Amino acid sequence: MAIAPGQWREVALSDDEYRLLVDVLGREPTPLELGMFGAMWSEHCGYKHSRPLLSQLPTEAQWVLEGPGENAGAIDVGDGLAVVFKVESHNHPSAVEPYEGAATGVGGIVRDIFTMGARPIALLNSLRFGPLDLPRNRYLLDNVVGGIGGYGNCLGIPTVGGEVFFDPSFNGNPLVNAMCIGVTEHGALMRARASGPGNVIMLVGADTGRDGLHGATFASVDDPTASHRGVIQVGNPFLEKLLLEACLELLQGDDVVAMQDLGAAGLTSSVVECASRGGVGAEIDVALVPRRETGMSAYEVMLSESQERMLLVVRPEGAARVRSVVERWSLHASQIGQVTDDGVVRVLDGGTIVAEVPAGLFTDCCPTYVREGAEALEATARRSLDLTTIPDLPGDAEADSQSVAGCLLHLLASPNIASRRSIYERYDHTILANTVVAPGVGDAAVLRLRGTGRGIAAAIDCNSRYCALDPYLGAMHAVAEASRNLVCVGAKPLAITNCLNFGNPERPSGYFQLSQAVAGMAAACRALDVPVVSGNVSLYNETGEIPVMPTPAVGAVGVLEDVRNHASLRWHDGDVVVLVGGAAPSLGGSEYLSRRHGLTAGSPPPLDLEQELLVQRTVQGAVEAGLIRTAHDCGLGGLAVALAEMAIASGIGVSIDIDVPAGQSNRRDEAWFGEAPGRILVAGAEKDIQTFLALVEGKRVTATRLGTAGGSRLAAPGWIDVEVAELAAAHTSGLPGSTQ
Amino acid sequence: MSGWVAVLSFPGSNGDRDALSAFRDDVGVEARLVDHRETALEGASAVVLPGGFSYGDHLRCGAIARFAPVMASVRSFANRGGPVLGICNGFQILTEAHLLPGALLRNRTLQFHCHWTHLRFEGCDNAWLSNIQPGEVLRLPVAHGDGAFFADLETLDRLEANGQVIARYCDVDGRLSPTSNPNGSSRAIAAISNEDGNVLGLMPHPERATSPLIGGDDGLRLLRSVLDVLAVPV
Amino acid sequence: MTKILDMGSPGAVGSGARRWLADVVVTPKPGVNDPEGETIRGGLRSLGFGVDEVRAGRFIRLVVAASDLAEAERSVTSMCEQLLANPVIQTYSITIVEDERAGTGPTGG
Repeated sequence: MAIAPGQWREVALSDDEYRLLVDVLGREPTPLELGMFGAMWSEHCGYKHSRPLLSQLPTEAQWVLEGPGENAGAIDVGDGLAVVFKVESHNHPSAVEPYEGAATGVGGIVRDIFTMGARPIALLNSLRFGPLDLPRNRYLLDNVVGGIGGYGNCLGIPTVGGEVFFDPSFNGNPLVNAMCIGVTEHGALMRARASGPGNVIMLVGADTGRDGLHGATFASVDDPTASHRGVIQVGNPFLEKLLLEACLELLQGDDVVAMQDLGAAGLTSSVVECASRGGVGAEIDVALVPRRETGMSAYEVMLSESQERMLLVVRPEGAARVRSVVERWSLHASQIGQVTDDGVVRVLDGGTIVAEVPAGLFTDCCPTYVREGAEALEATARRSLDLTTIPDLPGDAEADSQSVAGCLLHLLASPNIASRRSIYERYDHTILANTVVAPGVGDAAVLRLRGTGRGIAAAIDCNSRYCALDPYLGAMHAVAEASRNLVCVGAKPLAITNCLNFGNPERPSGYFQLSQAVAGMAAACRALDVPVVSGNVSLYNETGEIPVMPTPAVGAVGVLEDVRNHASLRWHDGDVVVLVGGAAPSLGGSEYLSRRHGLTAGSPPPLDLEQELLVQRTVQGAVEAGLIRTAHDCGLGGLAVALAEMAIASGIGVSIDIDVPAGQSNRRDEAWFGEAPGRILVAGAEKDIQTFLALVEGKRVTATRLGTAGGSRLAAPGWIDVEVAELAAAHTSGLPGSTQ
Repeated sequence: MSGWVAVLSFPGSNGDRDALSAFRDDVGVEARLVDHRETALEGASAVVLPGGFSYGDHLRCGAIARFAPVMASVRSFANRGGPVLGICNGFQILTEAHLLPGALLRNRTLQFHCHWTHLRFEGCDNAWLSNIQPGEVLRLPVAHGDGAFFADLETLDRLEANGQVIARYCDVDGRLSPTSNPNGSSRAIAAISNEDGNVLGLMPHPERATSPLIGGDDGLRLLRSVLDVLAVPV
Repeated sequence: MTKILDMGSPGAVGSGARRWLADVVVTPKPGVNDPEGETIRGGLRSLGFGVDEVRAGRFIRLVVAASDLAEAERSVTSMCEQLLANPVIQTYSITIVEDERAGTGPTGG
């Protein structure tokens, strides 16, 4: 069957791209081949716009075992253990069917981890929605959280951390990024590289249906609602649990030489990637693929995104053993083809060849684009902010809404700051019995690694507003903040995974945001010595030409040499409270400006990476040494909100007895609610704080004694005097569905 | 000490490894996973049905697991007086199998809940409670979507009269209040026993509370009762 | 097909028998708390509908083979008693009609 003129546009290839395809293939493609190219050359699989930029990111360090390119990255955390992790987006499916979209997002990232031979031990997520006064956004939040919990809870993997942020730019295009962490021994790390011509290719797990046809292609165009209707994947976590256990059991033996999950672009992408990574060919017959529906064409089978499927490359002599293990887990394994030595991906349908393409054409010949970026004028204008037009807060301790105290209560109830309890309590975060620092207790999750005395910490962060105002600086902040959250629990940051959520890169303003953010991220990763080991790119996140705030989410993982030495938000009666880091707070891009004045404006706070590293190492060292057990990053809402969060978490007040360090412009609102990187509140007993301060002395790090924890009020004479219970009530009120 | 603890594993169980390691590593007794297709529990001194989503929790939680081959052996083990502990999904399976009365309904909020709770132990005349005194308050995590214990009034009265109500959700001081009942359980019941006191079902997870490092070790106290159990041949 | 229910099939479909379409509705027994039903009622009321009571249950459609209606009823009743409903908290109702459709198995999406 010949390809009709323009038919390539149905699989989202441009005219030029189609000409390139014909050129490299040396002939017109068959309809199936066209569909396969459409998927493999989509932004989602081919990284057309991001690949040239991503090469700037540092990916190596002595402790990196596996960088980008495999299903997930892996790092050495000591004692022969490898930690495998990755974050991935499921934005478009979640916009259309939030429960299943989020659930299958979790399912996909979990498969990426156990495909590497690692047992998944933790999930995190990064979410963005439009404001909750719109019922649709409340529905999306409720169902995304339900889907994440429904899948992860059933799998028995604790969801231990995450973040959520609300802004009108996410109306119609929520972001749902899921991160998974697994652990294994160095020697047991598995790669998805087919090898050994003659080895058999098996498909394990769910039967193939028509769900998710062309998901990869449509994740790469900008109207998710129209494009995704009717192709929603429905997840089955129960089946995935069986698949997980079966695969991990199989990987203990030598019969399986490669494993690749079926995600975006289904069988097409898994066969192509497995063959191309291994430098071999593959021949499969779609007639051998078990189906859930009748009358499916080869095209549908090759491009279906049915969930919970895994491709195995198996030594022929081990096929029977593989089958028996799989069947013991109530699943079945079908032999659908074999590895060949000619480098060609050949698809048959009942013995007839329906596609025959050298694997490299799908991967190496995928076009890449370097475009001209230009900042939108509107963004430049937003960055210039004249603070004199904004009235400062009156200096009055009354809990009047105009006072510092009133403003604090108002900010605590902001959906961007409020307690996340109504979300994380719907996630099982205690299963596996490794959770040392649970959600709401510390700045990052801490998990013990059994049998070692060590622990790992994980956090995921991004300030989308900073990135909208200055994508370079904003992405630097994302890396610094994720890393800072790790040091606040006592972990040494080792590496990150990223999920780059952006709008249309074909527009100069979109490309500007993407390219600037990647460059900023690269700079911060180098300065803070945290290489990128895995990641995912999600572009075309727009609704009616309005792009989402650029959101390069950063998932960071670190190690605690002795997991007993960790820190949380909780201080104790009589603890001395100290602010580490002397960066001047600024109102640019702050939650205060947004919440109080409805402004997304100003330049985000400057970030001195050298100073940031000093502050981070100082605090991390003190927690690691067992000197400090209470630490908290000053994030959204600045110093006042950070103090309030610690008071709420502890149920103990604090009395501030110095004048609070002023910002750049000597304003009250800036001093209390201005934001700045590299500021960490720590607390401890007098003698430990003495030791800590002595340690800090010679280190070019500022440490300021603020006051003493105790009593039931947050009190700063002349500024604030509020009951902790009142702060807690405001904090709880900010998100719907608080259960208790 | 002889005997071993059998931790059952159904398709979809996900608390089986936690229970196994709590008994092995934290209590320090021999424990083995027993597949749902096994039909014999020879030599086992205690049987644990762990938490999870057996068979995907389809139809009703525990409804399908009840018919797994191993359950016939569990029934005869229980009828011989052998100690059986059902945790969370295991509790649900035991009620579906009629080894315990009542049923577990959707949480009042219709949502899954995961948090630490306080439990006031009352009737402690049970093989699994040799280390717990009546009136004691323990702190254990819950993590379930279907944990609201239900039984008709007559059954509830009978359970109370027989001392089969083992634990109720309470506040930190052991008092019952509307906010201390996380899921809408009848009479705030979190754990019940059979009439003979050898079968215990509880919604919270003692196997996740085995060390102060992970939030508390009250669960370990409960699980340690198995040491007394292992001393007695079934 | 994923084989999950590999635990024997006492009510296996007989050969040469007529096919029956059985609709089973399982609902919470009176007096059993039904938060899902209450939530639906609240939602309907907030939309202005005057609804006094809502009970939310589960609908299960079966295709069974039996020589006559009475046998089909006995078989489905037994399924309800043993598995489909939990008598502690649920009641059930059964509607059976002869399956006039052509084909060899239950239809589905």
